[in-house]
Amino acid sequence: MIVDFETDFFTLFDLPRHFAVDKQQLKNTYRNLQKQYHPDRFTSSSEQEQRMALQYTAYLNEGLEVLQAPVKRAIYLLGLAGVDFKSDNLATDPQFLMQQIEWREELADLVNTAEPAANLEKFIAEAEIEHIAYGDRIEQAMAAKNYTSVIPLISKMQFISKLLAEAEQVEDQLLMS
Amino acid sequence: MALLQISEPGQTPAPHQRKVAVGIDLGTTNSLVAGVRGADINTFVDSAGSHLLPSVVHYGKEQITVGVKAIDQAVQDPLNAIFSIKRLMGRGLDDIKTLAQQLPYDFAPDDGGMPQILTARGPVSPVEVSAEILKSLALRGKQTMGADIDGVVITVPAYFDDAQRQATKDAAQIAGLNVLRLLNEPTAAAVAYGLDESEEGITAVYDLGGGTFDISILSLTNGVFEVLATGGDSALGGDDFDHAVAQWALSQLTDFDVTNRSLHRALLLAAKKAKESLTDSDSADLIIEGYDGESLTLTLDQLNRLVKPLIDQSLLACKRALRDAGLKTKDVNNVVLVGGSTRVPLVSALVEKLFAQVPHSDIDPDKVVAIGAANQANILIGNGKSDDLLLLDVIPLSLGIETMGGLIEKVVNRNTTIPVSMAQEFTTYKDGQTALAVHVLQGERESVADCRSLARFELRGIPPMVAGHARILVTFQVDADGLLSVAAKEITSGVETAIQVKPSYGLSDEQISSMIKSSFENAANDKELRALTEQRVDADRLHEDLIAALVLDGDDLLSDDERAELDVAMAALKTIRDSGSAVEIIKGIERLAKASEEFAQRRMNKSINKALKGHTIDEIDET
Repeated sequence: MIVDFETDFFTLFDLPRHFAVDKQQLKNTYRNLQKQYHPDRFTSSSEQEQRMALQYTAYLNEGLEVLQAPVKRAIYLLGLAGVDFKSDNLATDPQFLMQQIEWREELADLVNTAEPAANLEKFIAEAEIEHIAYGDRIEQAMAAKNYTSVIPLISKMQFISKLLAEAEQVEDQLLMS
Repeated sequence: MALLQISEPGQTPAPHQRKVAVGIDLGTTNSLVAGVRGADINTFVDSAGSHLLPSVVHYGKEQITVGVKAIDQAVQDPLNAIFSIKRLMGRGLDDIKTLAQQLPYDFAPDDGGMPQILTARGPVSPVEVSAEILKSLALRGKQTMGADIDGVVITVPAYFDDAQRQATKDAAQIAGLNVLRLLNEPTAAAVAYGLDESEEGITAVYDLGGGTFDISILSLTNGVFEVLATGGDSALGGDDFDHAVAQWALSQLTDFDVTNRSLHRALLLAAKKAKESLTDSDSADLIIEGYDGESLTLTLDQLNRLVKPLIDQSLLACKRALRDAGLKTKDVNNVVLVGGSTRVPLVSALVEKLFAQVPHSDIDPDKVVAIGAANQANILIGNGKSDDLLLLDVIPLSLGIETMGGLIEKVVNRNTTIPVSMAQEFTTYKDGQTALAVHVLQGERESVADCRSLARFELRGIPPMVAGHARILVTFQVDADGLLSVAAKEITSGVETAIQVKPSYGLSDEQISSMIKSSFENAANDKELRALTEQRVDADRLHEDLIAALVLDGDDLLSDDERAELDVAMAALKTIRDSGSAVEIIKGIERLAKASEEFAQRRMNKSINKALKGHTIDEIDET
């Protein structure tokens, strides 16, 4: 068996090079590869083989991380198309900017509302819907190889991911209080 | 070297001889060792028939004793009988200070500022104390197996951070053991349960030990045991229950001499005994050796009131772990109870309520971790089969590096499957910058102050470039033990530097400890010097920020008078920075910050106005 570290993650997991991935298939392929090549399977092998199994497993885990996270996956896909991703200047989209400020304010004020937990849940659900909607638009733009339009979409999705991470921190605070 | 060849699984040469490996559960209160003999996996007993080895070490003038014999010395000689050493593993002096009130020992920093306990046999480090317990267990393993031990799997709380894991591995090294793997305790327990039933689905392992709490959510699919999320508290356990009972007892007993350390130790032992009795009775007397004052009875109701807040804390961690796994309580097929403290009736009752199902505790909660570890040890030493259950574990806490402004950029997120290698690009923030300080941290919070500092190192020799043009790739590698190493490289020039946050094998004990020391932010001997350096950095940063701001907006937003005033304030800080103490510099920084407040306010307004007309996400993020 020959393993190629230059293989891109889509080929590695036997997936088409699309933004939308079949998560079930990704996990199944991942598990099958792990079952065959995990270092625990090579405990009686030579040290070199053990080291390679370790590197390969680390590579698989990195691939899984990248393909499971929409923002990372989109940036990675752009890279495969030869486009370097740099977080975009959204000068052309003052509307999104207003939206950002509103989201931030809403999140900051949430804690002081009468039902912070319920409001936070609603906030997260809404942000997740937005997140998915950007995923759909990225999928379309990628399929059309319209890379210039993909970059601002990823930037916005990145913002929403960050917002969701912050919402999670607020959730932790609510849990702990 | 893009290609690598791996022989087909199952075609690896069969081992010529069976090697011997054991699993060790190195617990806060009790430790165990287990092994595979034929088809049987079990924990090993000592000459008195006991499976548990109390994790207590007595440093007597004549000899070092471990276990029950060490406890026997504890009341007479409380300063030299070390209990619960696991709580101090991988901890710096500052952490110890908070714990010290609970621990009746004398601490002193070693040369490098790492905590040591003063004993009759001289100062000892927590790593050395743990090594004594490991030696005792390894000897029991050797005697039971009738052969030398070729390797061990040692379990650690899933929620242990890098420093705590490293300390555990160092202890094994000092004890002369070959560590095959550091295995997370709840994962080991899940393995032990998985041996019997190969039922697929989601398992939650609730592991409350003597000093640590873990919750792990695992999925078993198609022969792969995958940890989906883990959480916990590496300073929450049955010990805390005992302390809560002891505190309560002190509030009831008016004539108790709290300064007497022997009596204090006796009280803790009595509290522990009473707590244990309440597993199957409604009340228990506190019998304190050497104390003949008032008698005191602890009821189950009273115990429940005392420990409920502590259990609630653990349940919050369960909810978090479920959320991280993207699951609801109803998705969980099995709940498993691990650790002696789950025998407290309220613990199992509240866990049952949270998950809305009766938790399993069919395998002795004290032994289950060691049994799972023994199974993995047997596989990892080469006695396994190719269709053995495969374990995929995760890193419990995110890893990242410090960026400008004392914030953390995460490189590896928590709950990422290990081993893993992740890289992220960073850049310089100043023109002509030729060195970059890399500060490696572990934790979930946004700010550096709230996370654990693991290591600092510098990448030097970056060719001078315009700010933002250098491309510095920082690579984090986490091995299967959950241990980290970090490398940094400037891509355009190829300048590289790396640090093993983990020290490699073959080092002397002095070197091991000196490496541990150097990996601690808080270890610096001269605290004042460090504070001074930090304040100078802060002063410089404020100064530079202001200069940059003045270049951009000074003419626009300030009158000549205002500008002159600010210049004076800046010059004043510069003087204090070079000649003042840390405290004086802090005050100087505050003064300049105040003097520049109005200017900052105006810049903020300007920037918001500009932003509203359209600007980048990143810049808005920083306001």
